[in-house]
Amino acid sequence: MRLKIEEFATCLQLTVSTVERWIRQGRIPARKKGLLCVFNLLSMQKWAEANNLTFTPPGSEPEKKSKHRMDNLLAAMKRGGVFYDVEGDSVETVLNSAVSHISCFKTKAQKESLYESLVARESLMSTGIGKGVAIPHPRTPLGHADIPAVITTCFLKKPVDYNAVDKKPVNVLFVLVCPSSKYHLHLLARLSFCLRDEDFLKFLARTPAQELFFKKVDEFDSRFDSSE
Amino acid sequence: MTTRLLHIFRNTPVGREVLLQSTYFCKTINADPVIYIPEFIKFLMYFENDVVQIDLDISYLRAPETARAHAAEIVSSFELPEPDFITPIHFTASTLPDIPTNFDFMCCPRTVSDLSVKIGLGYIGPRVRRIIQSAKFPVLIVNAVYKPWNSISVLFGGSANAITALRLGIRLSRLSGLPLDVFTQLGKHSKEHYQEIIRKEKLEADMEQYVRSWTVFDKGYLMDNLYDVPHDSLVVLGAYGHGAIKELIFGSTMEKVQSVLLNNLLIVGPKYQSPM
Amino acid sequence: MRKKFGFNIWRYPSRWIFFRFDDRLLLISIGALVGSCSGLAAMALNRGLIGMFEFLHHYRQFWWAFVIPGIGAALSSLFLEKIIKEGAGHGVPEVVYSVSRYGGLMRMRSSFSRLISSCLTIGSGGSAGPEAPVVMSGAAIGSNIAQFFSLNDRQRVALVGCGAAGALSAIFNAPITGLVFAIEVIIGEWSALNIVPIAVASVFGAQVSRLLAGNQIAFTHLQFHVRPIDTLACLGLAVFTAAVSILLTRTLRVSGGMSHQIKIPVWLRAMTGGCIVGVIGFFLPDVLGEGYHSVQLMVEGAFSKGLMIVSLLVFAKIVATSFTLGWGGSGGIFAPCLVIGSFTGLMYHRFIEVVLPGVSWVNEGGFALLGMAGLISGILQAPLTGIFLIIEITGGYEVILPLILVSAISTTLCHAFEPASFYFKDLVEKGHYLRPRTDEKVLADLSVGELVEKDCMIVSKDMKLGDFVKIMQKSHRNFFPVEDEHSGEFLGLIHLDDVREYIFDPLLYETVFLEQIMNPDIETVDLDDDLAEVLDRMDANHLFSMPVIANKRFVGMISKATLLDKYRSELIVQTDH
Repeated sequence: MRLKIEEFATCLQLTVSTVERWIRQGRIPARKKGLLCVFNLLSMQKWAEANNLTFTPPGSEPEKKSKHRMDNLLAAMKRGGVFYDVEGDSVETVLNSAVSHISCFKTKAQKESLYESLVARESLMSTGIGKGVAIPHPRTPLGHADIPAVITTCFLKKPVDYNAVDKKPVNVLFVLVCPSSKYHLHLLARLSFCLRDEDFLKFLARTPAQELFFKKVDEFDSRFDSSE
Repeated sequence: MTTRLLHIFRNTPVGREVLLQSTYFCKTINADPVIYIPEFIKFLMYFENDVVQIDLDISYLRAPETARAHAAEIVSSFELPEPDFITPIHFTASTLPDIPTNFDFMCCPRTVSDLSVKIGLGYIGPRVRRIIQSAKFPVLIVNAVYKPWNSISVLFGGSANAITALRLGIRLSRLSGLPLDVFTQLGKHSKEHYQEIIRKEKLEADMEQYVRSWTVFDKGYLMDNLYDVPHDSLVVLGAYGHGAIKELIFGSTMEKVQSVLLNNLLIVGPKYQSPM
Repeated sequence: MRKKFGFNIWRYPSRWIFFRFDDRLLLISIGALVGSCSGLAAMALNRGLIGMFEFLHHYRQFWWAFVIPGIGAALSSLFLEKIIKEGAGHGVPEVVYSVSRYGGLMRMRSSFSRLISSCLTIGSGGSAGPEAPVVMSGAAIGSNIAQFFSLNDRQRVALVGCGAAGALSAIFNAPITGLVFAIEVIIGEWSALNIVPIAVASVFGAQVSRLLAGNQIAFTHLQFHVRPIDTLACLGLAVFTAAVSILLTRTLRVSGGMSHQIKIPVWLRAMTGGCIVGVIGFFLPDVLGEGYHSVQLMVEGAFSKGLMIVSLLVFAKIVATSFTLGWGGSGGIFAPCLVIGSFTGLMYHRFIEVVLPGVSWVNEGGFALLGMAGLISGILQAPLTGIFLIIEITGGYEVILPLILVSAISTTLCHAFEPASFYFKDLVEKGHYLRPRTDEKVLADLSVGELVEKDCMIVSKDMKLGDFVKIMQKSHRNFFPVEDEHSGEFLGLIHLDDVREYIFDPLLYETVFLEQIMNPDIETVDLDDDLAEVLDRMDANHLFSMPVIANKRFVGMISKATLLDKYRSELIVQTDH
């Protein structure tokens, strides 16, 4: 098999100069012919294994990273859904009815553990970030790796005293549940980008319909991407 | 990564002209000169599969006290930053330093190792030839009189080395913004054959963009036709890397060209790897 | 293109189907070729020396004979300096240097230069040995054959070893010595991959020598009957040989240093040294030349001179050797070691005979033999080479027990006083002594260029802090190189720590320029710097990373973390055979 030296180096995840030197020094079962590297694929892979390296020939791409790619706000919100007139008059009751809406958690045990961790988090310190918005979330990711990141948006039936930082009652909840802390931060950053915006807050206060709401979120998503 | 040119400086009027040539080259293609002021009459260059000892003539050791200042002065006259000077770290023997070889270009006068009398008499020194054979960088062979050039000419003969030479020419043209001319002497093949090679190498777009003219000589000898190469151009060509015996019998095109053409030459050896 | 390839395929044996399977076969075949060639070179020098000796023999009786070594040394140094343009010296360090740093690349001219120059020096009476020049020639032959066949570094190093082994085994008719010397001194790595081709080369070298010169043992001797008391006495001999070894090493160095202070042309210097040797030789002819004749006499037990003369001879030979080699003559230290060693052994024998009369010791030849082993081991600090050399050139296996003892003790004692052997002293001092599989070798092989991390975001000195904060959010690194926008010159570095106190103050965003925050006094690394030195500097300044600069432009960062990563993979690759 022959490859260009640059490609060959990429297969080994090494720099070109290292590979060239190894060929020159005869440490690697390949040789150079002009600008090409000539080698036997099988012995090359064997050698790489013996030397704690990896050799991935071009074409056989390592498994797609998209599996771990993190979604934007809109996708997570669409998965979570938007609910209106959510019942409740205290932190616990509101959270309980919000959890009952989350469709990703199907079994009762799952819902219960989510509810408990949300309440535990609230007792630590309120997630009411002020201006009538709260972002309840578990402190540590729940152990369900198969459940995707979701943001469930709940417009409350009546404002609830949530011990928010600005002491104002809360009328919108964004329940944020993520498979990993990193994902959590990723979504939280995007969410807080929206909530920093006065227009968005005013928009929320009007309790927009689902389509309008998603459209607005999409707009902010792209604004966030372009600012990055 | 910066592009670096190795220059062996000699503190004489001839050396000044040669450094002027190097610096002009660096200025034009946006490279940095790296200067070695010899302290010993000889030095070694370790290449991939060869080690070349270069025996300088005594004029390289003249007036060492002013050499550095002179060299820096010439370089700064082109508004380039002050050049790096090489201090050899490794010595094969106590008076035999090793000079690094990881440069992008190297400048040699027509002959480095012999008497300066031979400069310009159509003679590439055996050492320069060995450097060209083993070096990963192209060698800039200059004349002993400073002469700026305003275009680049590539002698394209269709071989593997000629293609690298063409690539290099295109790269230089891109870096310098100077026009590029290609010259081909037809032998056994027709012009279509050469166009086919260029198509195979995916150089068509670059040819279109950078090449000002492609002159194809369909009759006569290359040596006579070289009259058409602009006098104020840098000539890029491949050394064909034949075996020593073959060269002895037939003579190489490189030798013939350089005996006829006194332009500054940039010679691409068989080990040269063009940066992508 | 295809035609050319076909034409040249014989120059690329590693591409032949036959050898593609495993390069061991290739190395063995080429090793045999190299061994034969270097064997021939060794025999050529041997013949040359005999010829010179016979030619000059008639002139030895004249009163002006003392200038002969001077003329020889002058010619030899002129030849090296002016015609071949190589430095003086015996060459073994050069071989080890090229093996250490450049995968055994050597010049063509080295393959014959030392043969001629040492022939001139030794043949005319200079006190030096032909072995080191032969080793250098053999090694250069091996290297050039490897270059011709476009072999890689590892194969080339093996062939350099083959050349050295073939040459040494040819000149002494001692194949095991050649093998051991090549591995112990030249290559420094005991691996089957090297040993096999070198052993083959040794065999071929010795065979060439036997074909041309007959299968003779260099120094025949009487039967020795070694008793325990002799073995005991050897302990004392080892101390003696160690002392003489150290004396020889130091004298050589002092004389070398002295000669360099005298500002005269090299050939005149060599001539002066040669003449001094000539004068010494006029009174004590045993010090002249390689001196194997007197070794032979001593081993046979036929050397009649008394204790005082022998002691004098030890010192005279040391002085003569240092004037020959230190002042620009060309040759090796091997033969003088053997001569001095046998003198020392003899001296010791005479000495204990006086101190302890009545005890019957083994024949004095036995002590001469042990003395040689002691001195070789002490000077080269290569005990195996000493042991095998003596056994092979004398065929005296009876003395093996005291021999090992003397070698071991002498090596140890010398090592205590002279940490680096005579061959490697200079190399060690300059950091060129890089044995395979050592930290130094790994660090020397890695270059700064391979370790540079280029994912730093470069900022300009005129950038405002506010813009910088935005860039900071996107960077993965803690370091931000600052450069001049126009010249591209590297000006300094900003570490996150430097800006931490400012970045939370939006007031400063528009008013502070990066030039004001950056740290301009930064330790930088050059692309050509040695990694060992870079690491030392990092340690000295408690840094974890440093910027790499080429021609005043920023290239990237080099950090200890990446270094460890690459160091480890390099170490794994280098130690995998």
